[in-house]
Amino acid sequence: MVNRLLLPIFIFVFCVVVQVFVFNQLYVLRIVTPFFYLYFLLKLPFGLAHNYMLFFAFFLGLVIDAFGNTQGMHAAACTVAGFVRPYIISGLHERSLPDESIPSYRNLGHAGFIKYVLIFVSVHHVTLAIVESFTFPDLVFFCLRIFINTVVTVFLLCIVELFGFGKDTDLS
Amino acid sequence: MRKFLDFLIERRHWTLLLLLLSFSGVLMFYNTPYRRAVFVGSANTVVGRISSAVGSISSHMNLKETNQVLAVRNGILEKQVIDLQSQLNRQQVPHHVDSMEISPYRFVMAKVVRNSVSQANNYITIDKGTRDGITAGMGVISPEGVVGIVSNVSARFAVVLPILNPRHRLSCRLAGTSFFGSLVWDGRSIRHARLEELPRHMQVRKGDTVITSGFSAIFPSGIIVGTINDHHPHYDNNFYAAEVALSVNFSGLSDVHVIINSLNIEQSDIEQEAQLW
Repeated sequence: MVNRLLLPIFIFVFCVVVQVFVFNQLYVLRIVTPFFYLYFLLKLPFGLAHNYMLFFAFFLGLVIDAFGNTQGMHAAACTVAGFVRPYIISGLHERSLPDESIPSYRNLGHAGFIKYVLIFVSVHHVTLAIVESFTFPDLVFFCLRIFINTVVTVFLLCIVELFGFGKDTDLS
Repeated sequence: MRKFLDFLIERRHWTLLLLLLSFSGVLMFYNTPYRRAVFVGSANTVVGRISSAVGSISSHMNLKETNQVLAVRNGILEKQVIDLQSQLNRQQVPHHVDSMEISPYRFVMAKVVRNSVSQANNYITIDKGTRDGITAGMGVISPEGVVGIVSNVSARFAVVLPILNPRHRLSCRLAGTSFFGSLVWDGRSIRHARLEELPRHMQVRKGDTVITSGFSAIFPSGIIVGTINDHHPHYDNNFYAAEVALSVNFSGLSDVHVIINSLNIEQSDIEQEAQLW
């Protein structure tokens, strides 16, 4: 029980700290800034009500915005990604998954989990790019940026998941 | 009506989505200084405290480079002092001092506590605010050249809109000429920006120095911005644009000066008054 409450809070703080102080400082080739903080949204339980999902996503985006001085951009992107997450899961997985458990390689399968991460991250990045491009119209550069950033972020999240909190899923 | 309500309740996550998206839209697009101050300002007292702890570590790591830059700068200034002193000695004629010749500019030293260079819209947070006499619209420079303009201020912190932000436009001039253009960032490289609206008939060579024009009262005239990097300029109609290699290394920025111009308000007031007519 304690784990069910504490684990998400721990992941939230961990994701924000790592994003703000490690990945936001990266500017490899001025293109790649992996958005590691999406890990928190990926690892919320399957059965989480849609409304809560939206609120968590929005709040996480807002916190990242506050640290990055990006005026609501991440909040918007996260909200959209959080909104489509239940549809991604139901689209990828026909049979119903236990509400309590958290997405991982074990219950989605390796290919399933990677697909889930890929779609989720793509939705987030495309939304973010659209939102950013309102202030910044440079189409080719942005397509390149979305593509590379998505690949790097998905790669990073899938690697982290290999070592990460996945093992705790059955504790609840 | 009842059906409509049922529909809304059944699809309430859609409503919530629209609500949250419009809220973030408001944050993004109603960027008046006041609204920004509410969000960024309140966040910055919290965020700024955390960041200054991290900033102090990273400023230690940059000390060696900073030291080198300061040493070079020191050398240049010392040389200037010697030159000026020798000039002064030659002209020992006491001349009439006009009160307007007193420089209106003062500097406030500030440390960078947060600095982004990887985003499409970059910002820098510094550790001086209204308590140190800083207001929005003041110019910020580093020993290497122009950094940006203060956009939001709280009591202890200020957010600077650097050259590396597409909303930033800076009026610049080529050293040794009276031709001026405006400097904008195209988002591709943190070491380069574009100087646009240059008159077509002027000659630009690689290595020419770009300095501030001094028109806006934000920056004094003649502060270095960068050097012309691309000698094959891009034409459009009557103007052309050239690529400028910025003199400031934004990724290693740690100490900046904020320029306080005591005549700034007076100048902008009278300019606004003139526009009313």
